[in-house]
Amino acid sequence: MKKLSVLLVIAVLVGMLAACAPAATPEPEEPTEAVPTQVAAEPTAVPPTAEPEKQMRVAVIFNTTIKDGGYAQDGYNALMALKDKYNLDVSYQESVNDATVKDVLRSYAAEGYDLVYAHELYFTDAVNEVAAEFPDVKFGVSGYKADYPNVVALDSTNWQGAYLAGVVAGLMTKTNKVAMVTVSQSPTAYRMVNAMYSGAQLYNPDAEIIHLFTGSFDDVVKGKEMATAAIAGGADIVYGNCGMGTAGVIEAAKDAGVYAIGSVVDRNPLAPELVLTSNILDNGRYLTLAVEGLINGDLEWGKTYVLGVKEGVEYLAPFNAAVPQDVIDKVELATQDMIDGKVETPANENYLWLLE
Amino acid sequence: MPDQVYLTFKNIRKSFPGVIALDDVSLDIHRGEIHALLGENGAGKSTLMNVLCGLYHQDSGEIYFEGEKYEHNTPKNAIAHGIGMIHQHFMLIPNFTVLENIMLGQTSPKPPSLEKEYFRREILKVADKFGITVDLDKLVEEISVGMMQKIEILKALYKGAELLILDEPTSVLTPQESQELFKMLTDLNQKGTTIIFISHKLNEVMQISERISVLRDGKLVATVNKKDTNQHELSKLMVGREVIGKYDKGESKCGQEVLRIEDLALKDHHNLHRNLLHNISFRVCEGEIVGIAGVDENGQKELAEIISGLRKPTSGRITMFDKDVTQATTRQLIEMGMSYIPADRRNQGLVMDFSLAENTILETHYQKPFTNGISLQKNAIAKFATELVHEYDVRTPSINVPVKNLSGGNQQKVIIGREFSKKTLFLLVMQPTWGLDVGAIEYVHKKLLEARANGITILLISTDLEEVRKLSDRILVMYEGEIVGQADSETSIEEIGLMMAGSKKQAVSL
Amino acid sequence: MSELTNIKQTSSTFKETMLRFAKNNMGFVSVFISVMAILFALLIGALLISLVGIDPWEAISYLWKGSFGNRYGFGETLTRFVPLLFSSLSFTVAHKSGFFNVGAEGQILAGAIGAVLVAAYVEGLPPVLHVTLAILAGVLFGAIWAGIAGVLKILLGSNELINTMMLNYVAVLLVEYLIHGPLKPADSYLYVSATILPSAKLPIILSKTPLHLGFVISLVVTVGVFYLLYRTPVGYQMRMVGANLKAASYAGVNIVGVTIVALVTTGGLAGMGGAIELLGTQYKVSNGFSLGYGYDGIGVAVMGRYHPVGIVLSTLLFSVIRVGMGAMQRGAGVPFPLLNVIQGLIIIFVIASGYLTNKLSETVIGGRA
Repeated sequence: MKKLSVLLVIAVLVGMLAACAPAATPEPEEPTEAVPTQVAAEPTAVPPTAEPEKQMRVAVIFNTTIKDGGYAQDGYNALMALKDKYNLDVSYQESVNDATVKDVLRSYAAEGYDLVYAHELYFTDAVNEVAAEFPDVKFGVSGYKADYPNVVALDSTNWQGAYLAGVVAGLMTKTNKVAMVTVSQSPTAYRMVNAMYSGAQLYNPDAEIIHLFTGSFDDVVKGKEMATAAIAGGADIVYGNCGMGTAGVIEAAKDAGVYAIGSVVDRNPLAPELVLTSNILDNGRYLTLAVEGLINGDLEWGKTYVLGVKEGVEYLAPFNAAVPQDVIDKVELATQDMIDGKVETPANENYLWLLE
Repeated sequence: MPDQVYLTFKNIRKSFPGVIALDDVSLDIHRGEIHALLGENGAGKSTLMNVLCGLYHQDSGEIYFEGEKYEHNTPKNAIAHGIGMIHQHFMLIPNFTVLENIMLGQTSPKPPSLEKEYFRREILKVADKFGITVDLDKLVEEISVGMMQKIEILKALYKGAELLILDEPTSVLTPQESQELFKMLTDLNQKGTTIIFISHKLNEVMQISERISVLRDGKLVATVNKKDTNQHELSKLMVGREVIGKYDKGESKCGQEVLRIEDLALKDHHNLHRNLLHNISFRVCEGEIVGIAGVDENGQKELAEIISGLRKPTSGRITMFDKDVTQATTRQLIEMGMSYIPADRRNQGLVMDFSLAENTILETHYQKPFTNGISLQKNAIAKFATELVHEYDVRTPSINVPVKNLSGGNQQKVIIGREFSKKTLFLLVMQPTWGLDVGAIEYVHKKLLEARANGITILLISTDLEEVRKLSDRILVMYEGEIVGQADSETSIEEIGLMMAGSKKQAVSL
Repeated sequence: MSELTNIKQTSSTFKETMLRFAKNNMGFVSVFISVMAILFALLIGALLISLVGIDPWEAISYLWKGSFGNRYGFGETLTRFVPLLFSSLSFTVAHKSGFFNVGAEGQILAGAIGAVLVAAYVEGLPPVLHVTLAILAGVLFGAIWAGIAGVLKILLGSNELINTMMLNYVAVLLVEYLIHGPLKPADSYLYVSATILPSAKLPIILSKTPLHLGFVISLVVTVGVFYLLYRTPVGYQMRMVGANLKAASYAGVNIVGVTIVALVTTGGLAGMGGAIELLGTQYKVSNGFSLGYGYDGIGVAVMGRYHPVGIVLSTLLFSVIRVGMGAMQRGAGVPFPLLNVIQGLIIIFVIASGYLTNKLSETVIGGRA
């Protein structure tokens, strides 16, 4: 009996605590008189809009945090811009990993979002798998395949920017030796190297490419070592397309006083005198294209888009002062050719100069 | 000068979870006296002194120094008040010299320079004043235990101790070293040092102190003048009843040879030039108790480990029941009928976090009826444990309490019960009564003698010479890893003491 | 004056009543304290959330809504539960056997590698056999992975904490190597292993959720593990070695043998967790396969105080947190770093409450009987 009464006392106490907490939050109405102007302004600022149509709901999944200074952050910024522009109802989840991505996708799909978008290449399989379970929901992925009619995949060519960088390098080199540092020797890397070679050859048939790779996305020291070696081997322009290693490549150019070309983002601030340009890869653009495509109804579902210069996913950053006007003009011509589809996709298995 | 009250404890109370360690203890210490604190283990002697030294803080009650209330009892403040405590375990760094050990923690007059020579002069001044002879340049690891104790005392005196507290100082000494210590304490006392002497040994207390305070179960039972009392009365005060002085154990019916050890040697594997055990040969026969006496750390531990199969000797041969068991594992020996009651029941004999019941099957859990081959049989184990608790009078609320919640005596009863309940032919016992109260000691001794009467062979290793003499049919004395002498219960304590100190050796063979 | 003493008296009897209540209902009290700890942590979390301008009550309600508030969340929570439970069982067995295995992370990966070899490359088996063999391969690989640490400890005496932790890094790199080379399907765009065959997939047991048969297996294994530890001679020896190595050797226990058995068990359990996660949820090995299940398992085991019910409950709590946190971000937009802080707060508070419970039980039950 005694036990029971103590239990009851505890229960009542906890209950009171819980009841008190929210009751205490509404402040007495004193402050309203203190700032009357604001109170008066409030109703006009947020008019009870009778929404004419339903807000579109977009959910996005990132694999790192939205403050990663790279891929996810670009996507997040694009999402916020879209939200403001089209008055979207958005939700996102960051730091989603391989182990949980399917659950997050399913949760969003079940919550009735109009578009569930995974901004990560590695989520391509998961998106397709989950899309099959939710045929009524539209899915998007910054990836390489769309197996179902409710999925769209958006990818970059990866090589078109490298081609344009090659054009610049071919025109600017004095020694006719240009170095390119990539992460690996993967097919993608071969294609980028070959694109750069073709670009350089366009106006300078004597241009040669020295290709080196770092083996890691984040090895700044290795990037610098590789670029230094290339410079010692006669290269007078170094092009870094090796993740964070690109910063090392530019540092090597600074030490040697040679020109450099950056990648993905504008690397000019690292060495304004020496970084001629950078081939930008606008990651946020995929998301923008997917959302706008859904709004405008001009997106082909079930399709994988490979986007490049034409779609504004890849382009060159503003040139620095070292690049003369005739070079700029020639690059513009090459860009137009590319948009017109006159440039072939390079081979991805071996070096082009070895195949010739 | 005498009878001047120096230190007063007034109504000191201190409790630990579940135990009242000190219950309203009031006590005066006079300036310039040797005051003994007598009591069994756990009576509260050390707790009282630890309160004084600031290691614990009393729950209630006050301490006065020469009539002035002593507050903030911290270790630092205790030193400032001239209190020096010599703990049972020495606080010395073995690979430092004596000088370095004494100057440790003292502020150098010219920091950051160490000023060793300054300290040497100052320490020697103190040593001369109190008539202590020391070699300051010896490494502590090279000196004898008796010497270490002197160093500890000198260290306290150098820090300005006027009150020396010695906690069971003779437990690590040979009888001769103990006598030397007493002489030194008497000298110090004559030069004005007040001494509190903690002990549970009646003869020592009677020999050295002027006044004796007896503690029992955390209460002060009496404070008596030495000249008004005797050992018999003290023992009654201490235990609360009469104590048996000598056992009538009868002749041993020495039969067949059970254990035979030949030329056993063990080298230290860190230092192969050092012999931990050397040239050990002896035998033990059915139905006798052979006692191995010796000061602690003279190879007894290693010998026990080898006999019980935990360690392999460097050379030599062990035969048990006519079988060569030199390389046998502990389990093989146990299955042959060996039982081992190790010295450290908390760390070696029991698993403190296990329940009492689980502790009763440490060696036999894989045998029937405790297992059917796949799972443990809870009912059989519970039945066995319950029987054991009854038969060996283990005081416990239940067989499922963790054994760490039992008192030391009851823990030892669990071990004895466990070892005696299985088929035991040869019993190796080490320090079986260490830390037990008198009642429990008597109980353990009785059980060992019963076992002997039942024809069980017992090898008893103990540093308690009294115990060895009381129980053994034959006594072997170990010193520095060797058997240096043989004796029996008739041999005088002095003679055994000389052997224990290594100053008298005789060849001992099979 | 008399009133004052009166009050004092009643308050002391109240205290006594409370203590007596606690003594008689220790189980209830410890659960109550844990629940209060969680509520406290959430209260602080709510404060932090309100600081970033989000309605805290709405945000915290998603913790429930996301994990148990809907069918899918319920299934997801119990799915997340499975690898975590295996990991904490692995740590519990290690702890009880006296060594500190922080290598569950690596053993989970090793188990997944073992399982994917069978599940993706052995064709033509009936599902039951295929699943069984794949799980056994996971157990074997996990056991071997732990066994390496064990052999190093026994032969060289090197510390198992360091060994198992280093082996975690080796396992991560091994996975990295394998998915870049031998295990990567030739036509794959990405660096992931081949996908397991349909016959090796664990069936879903709750439709329209990801909850698979591994959940049932994990509960059965939990019962098995505690049966092993507390009801068999081998488990008894493992606990003896863990609780007091010396006493075990004095009692004639073969320490090396028992240690090997314990290590193999602990590694096997983690490996099984990896295998089941592969066969039930992920279907392929990637470099984000485990992401801390092995480390979270330590927290779960400590929080569950190595007790079967405690472990199941704390695993459930961790799963709720993991799943609910996602819902908090999706639903209320709580930033991810803040979610990590709240998760940490809950864990710290619950573990601290464990010590509080210990202290309380010491006070009311007493150090000595």
